[in-house]
Amino acid sequence: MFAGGARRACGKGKIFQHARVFGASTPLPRSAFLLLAGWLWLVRTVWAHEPDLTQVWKNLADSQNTTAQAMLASLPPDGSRARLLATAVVQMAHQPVTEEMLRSAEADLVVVAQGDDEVAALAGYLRARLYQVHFQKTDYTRAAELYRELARRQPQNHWARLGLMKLGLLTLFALPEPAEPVARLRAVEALLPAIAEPALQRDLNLQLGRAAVLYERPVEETLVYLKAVDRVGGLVGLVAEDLVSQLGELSLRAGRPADAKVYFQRFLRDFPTNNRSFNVEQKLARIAEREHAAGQGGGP
Amino acid sequence: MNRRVRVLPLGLWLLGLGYVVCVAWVLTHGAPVLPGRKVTIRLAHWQIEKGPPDGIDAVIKRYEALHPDVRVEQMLVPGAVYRQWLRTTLAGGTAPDLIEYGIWLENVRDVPLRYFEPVTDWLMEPNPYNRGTPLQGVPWLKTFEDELLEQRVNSPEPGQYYCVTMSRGSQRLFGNLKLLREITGAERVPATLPEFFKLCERVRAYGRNRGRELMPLAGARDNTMFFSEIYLAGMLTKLTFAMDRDGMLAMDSRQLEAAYLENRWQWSRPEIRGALGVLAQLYAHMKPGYLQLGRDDAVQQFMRDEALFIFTGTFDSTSLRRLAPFPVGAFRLPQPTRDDPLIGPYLMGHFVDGDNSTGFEFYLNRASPHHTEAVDFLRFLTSYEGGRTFMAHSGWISSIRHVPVPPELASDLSPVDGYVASGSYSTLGTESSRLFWREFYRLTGPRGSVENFTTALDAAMPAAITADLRAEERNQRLTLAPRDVRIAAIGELVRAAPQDPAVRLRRERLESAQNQSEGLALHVECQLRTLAKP
Repeated sequence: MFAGGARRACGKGKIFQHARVFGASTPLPRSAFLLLAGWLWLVRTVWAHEPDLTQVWKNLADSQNTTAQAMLASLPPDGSRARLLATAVVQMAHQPVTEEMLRSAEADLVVVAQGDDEVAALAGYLRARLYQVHFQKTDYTRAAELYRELARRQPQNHWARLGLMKLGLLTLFALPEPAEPVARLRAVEALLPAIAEPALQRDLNLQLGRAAVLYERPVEETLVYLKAVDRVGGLVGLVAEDLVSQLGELSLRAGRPADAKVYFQRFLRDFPTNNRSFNVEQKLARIAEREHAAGQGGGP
Repeated sequence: MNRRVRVLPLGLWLLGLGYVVCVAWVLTHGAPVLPGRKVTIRLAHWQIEKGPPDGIDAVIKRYEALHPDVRVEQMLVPGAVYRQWLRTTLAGGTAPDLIEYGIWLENVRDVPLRYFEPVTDWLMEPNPYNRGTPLQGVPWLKTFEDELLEQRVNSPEPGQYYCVTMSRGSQRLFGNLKLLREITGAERVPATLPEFFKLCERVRAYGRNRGRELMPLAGARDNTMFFSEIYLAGMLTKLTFAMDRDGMLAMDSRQLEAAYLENRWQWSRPEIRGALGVLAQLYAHMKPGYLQLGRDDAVQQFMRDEALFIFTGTFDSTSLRRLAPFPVGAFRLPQPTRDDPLIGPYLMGHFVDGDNSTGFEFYLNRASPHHTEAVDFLRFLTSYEGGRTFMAHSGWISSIRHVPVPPELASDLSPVDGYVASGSYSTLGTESSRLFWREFYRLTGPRGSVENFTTALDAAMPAAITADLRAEERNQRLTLAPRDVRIAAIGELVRAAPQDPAVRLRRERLESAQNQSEGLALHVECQLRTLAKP
């Protein structure tokens, strides 16, 4: 009877059922069991780390995907779209990646994307990413369609703007149309106003500058893009140093040594540990020589 | 009922007895219920030469004294098996928390993006272990002498930092001072290559006259690679600048590779032929067969008094200085001159002969269950105190700013007094580098010539470079999928706390880093579509 009672019992009822059994056989006071039960409840409350979706996202943000997966599995199902989104993202993060799992994630994302809120926008964005990056056989054209569709539906949303930035990258380097390099550059320039957020515009202008060099456009054109990047600032790492060096050198090539001088001086001031500082000092020395020669009536 | 009352207490007694026996057993035979230290951090590296392990041990002792709950284990893995060990342990999920890695290690270039975690966010904050030092309140990144230049140049993911560095070093021509004085009457090394070649002839004559085997340069494949990287990059500065379409005043390996496929340079160009000719002259002063030897063989040759000089990284300086039975000096590399018939007309000017960048990089294993503790240990390891302790016990110069460098080590550092133009032409990528060294015998072998070598390279290089660029594109692409997950997650955290500037900044940086990686991957893909050679 004791064993059977224990098996049938669960949760708090289990404790009280034990109390009744023990109470029937040993004369312990009922208040002691109540006290014990209360103490256990308190301990449970203090120690139990009730996971919620925020914890799942925190783990995913820190690349702790397995923990996030386990945490999500321990959450009681609530049928919410936010929960479904988390399920889809966990599937995308799952290792090893399988096409089947990604297709399942896409199905969830399609459901979540039915709406006009933030969660729907993120789901729409991630769906496009599946086609551009995640599926074994990438489909840039389909990804581009989905980015455009998201921008049409939620133009003010960050995910839609980020999607347009990605669309810009695909247009510059990967999509079959437009075929002409100049047309590619112009098509991407046309996306910039809708992207709206300065940091994303900066990133796209940087790629426009690289594409302009790749497609051998005039130096002046590249400079326009790079100056737009510079106006926003905030780049991290070597790319920030490369940018100032490029602005200096391309200004020099464009026949504007005064501008070049300013950029080169800034390079030396802002990036004293860059190992190209000697190269930049030599550039400045050449500019100074020219200025000196011009001041004495010599040609450039 | 009465019987049950009698039996139950007996059952409880038996249960209690069983419990006592179990407790006694656990206490006398089992492991401690609570470990003495709650967390164990493991860090692995291949710097098993004299010095570094002692330096790290000293830092660990101090750290463990400060943190009784944390234990740190140092794992020394020989360089010969390091890459295999790295791949196996990472794939098997048994890799340590902190791992030394170098972006130049062949055949494991995908590792950082697959297995390591960026430490960018931590680097933007001050290192708490620098309180009370000249580095107090300075962002961790800015406490490194070169602000992690190598990571800025070669980060696996543009805009992200994946590691921190332990030491600062360069490349030097280490010389046997006693022998140098015996031969020349002084402890000086010529600053120019023509003068240096004359010295080499004197060394050989000195050996011949005494009937002993004495070479001017200790030779091994590794040392040849060190020489080639610096000399080729330096002697070809003018060519590199001429090809620098982006205006970055330098070109990285990927840009050089793309330029090759665009036919903007070939190995048969006169300036490259000239530079290779100079290298061939240099390597003629190594013992024949050096390409079959490893770095340790060259060190032994030098230690045995069979070579006057050894050109190597300052990572060997502690071993050389502590183990050599003679005084060892560190010298700068002799430079070619403008009147050199082979390379003179193509020279840009004085080039750097050592970059002083910081190295001995530790990366954070993404799968580590102890990210917080591992990063905390990294902070201490690279704090002012950690750097000073490491330098005192290892003989390696610390990577940390303001840590005083002892006078005896100062010559290991290179002044920044020359051009820096590119990654090396000899180690562009895995396949092209393999090809270069596979065919190198055509340059320096008994029937070798510059012509033979460049013809062989130009025949096979397009395919090798195409393979390298494909790998580069693939590696960049590898970052994108995991970053999508992180970006989505951080986006949701922004939604939960829209006013938190730290989370917003984190999102912006991560998105920007991904945009750059993605741009690069698509850029390379675009180049390959038009330029790829089968």
